Amino acid sequence: MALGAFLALVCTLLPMIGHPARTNAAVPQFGRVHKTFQPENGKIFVLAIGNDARAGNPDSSLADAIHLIGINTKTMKAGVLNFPRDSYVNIPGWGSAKINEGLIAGGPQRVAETVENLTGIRIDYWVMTGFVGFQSIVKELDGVVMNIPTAHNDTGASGSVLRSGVQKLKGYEALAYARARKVFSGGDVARSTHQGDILLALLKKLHKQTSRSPAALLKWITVTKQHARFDISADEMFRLGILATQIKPKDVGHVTVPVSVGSVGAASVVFISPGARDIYQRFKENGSL
Amino acid sequence: MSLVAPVQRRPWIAVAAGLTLLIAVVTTLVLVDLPGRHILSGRDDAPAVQEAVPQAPWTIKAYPAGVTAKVTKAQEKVLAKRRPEVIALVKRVYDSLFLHPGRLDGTLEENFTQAAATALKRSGAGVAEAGAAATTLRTARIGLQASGGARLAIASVTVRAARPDADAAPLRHKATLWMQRANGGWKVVAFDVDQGPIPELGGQNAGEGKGDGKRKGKRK
Repeated sequence: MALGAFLALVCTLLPMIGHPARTNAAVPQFGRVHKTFQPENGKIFVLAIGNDARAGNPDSSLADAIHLIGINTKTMKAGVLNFPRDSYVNIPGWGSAKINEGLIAGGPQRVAETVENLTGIRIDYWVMTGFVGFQSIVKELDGVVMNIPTAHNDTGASGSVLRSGVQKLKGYEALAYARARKVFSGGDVARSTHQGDILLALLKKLHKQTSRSPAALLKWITVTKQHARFDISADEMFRLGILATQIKPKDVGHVTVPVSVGSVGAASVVFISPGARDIYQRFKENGSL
Repeated sequence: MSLVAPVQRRPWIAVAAGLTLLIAVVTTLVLVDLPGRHILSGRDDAPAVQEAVPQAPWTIKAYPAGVTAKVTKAQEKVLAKRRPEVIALVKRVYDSLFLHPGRLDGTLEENFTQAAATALKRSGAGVAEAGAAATTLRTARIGLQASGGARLAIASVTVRAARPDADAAPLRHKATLWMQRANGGWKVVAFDVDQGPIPELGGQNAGEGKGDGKRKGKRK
């Protein structure tokens, strides 16, 4: 997918709860996973990471939002695969742990390696943002329209207090909704799915704006640049953005990996079901879900 | 002497007359025959073609885009330099598509990335030969990136064209060009085009604009 989409998507990364801020920088990061860009048969995969730092993107934070975005540039279809942060997986060079520890283990690169090992999908780019970056991006893009399935009041934790139905969320509301889990029966899985919903809502917004005026993409690029650090070239970013504007939201599926709830020691975790392998394979082959 | 002298000057007079005649013939060929030759051969880069088929004037607006704050004076200065460049690029591309298709290959080579050029040719946008359409509307809105040295631009172009062939419906053409500045020049890196006949309002063909003859392409 193109940068624009990614920008939007990237921006959408959802940070989570419970860990104190460690730096003052509020900059999402963008980078390559491999030195060479080799989309397989026109398929591009981008890992979107939302860290739990209140500001900045320190590697010492936890990756509490992890979404693998695939784009098939031939069929112009795409998919978002959501990973609950409590997924108990093998992290290369670190051992078995919750997937969100991958960031502490070796930064965004290690999270990407972990997801690559898990899914067998070669990831082309990663992008990361934190609380402030995400909130600022949504704010500067004038909010995001979401259909909230369930009214909830999570004043004690995430701060998400929303009625059900279609509404425009401001930056702080989108962040709170992306973090909320205790008020939903699905807990971490529901949260991960909601994060995917926000990514798609941002893509819809990008699509709507650029349908009216294609030059609107330039604002998305500007906003992302203001709140992000890019390790990919401006050319790549522009072309990714163009690609994103050409993918119709209805052609983007999003799926949360199937899991079962369990525990390891005192820690509550989720185990990814064997059935996820079929999803990985389909995603790898099609670049979409 | 008076009789001899003319005889002695006669070769010079003949040479001068010959040269004059030659110059006159060459001049006549250049001024008169060239346009006709182009028309007959189907080439479209002759002024006569443009004169024969009146074209609509361009309405182009190039504005700063991607702005989250007021455009600074420094940015405006850069924009002022870039604005004529992107306008010229858009005009050049559309002259090649609708007025001088014979120049299209050269324009694509110079102003498009290879992938975008290949895809545009495949899309069938524009007209196949010069004089096949007379534009009745030509508008472009170009968003020019205000920040970052104004290296990115996105143009939305609308063209409507009548066709001299009585059986051919007028054309409408809508396109988006994504342009990027590199190495001192601009390149179209991607485009999105939708071209087809204008449906006859209230006629039997009303609402058929999305059907026959519509050419659509989205390419990078």
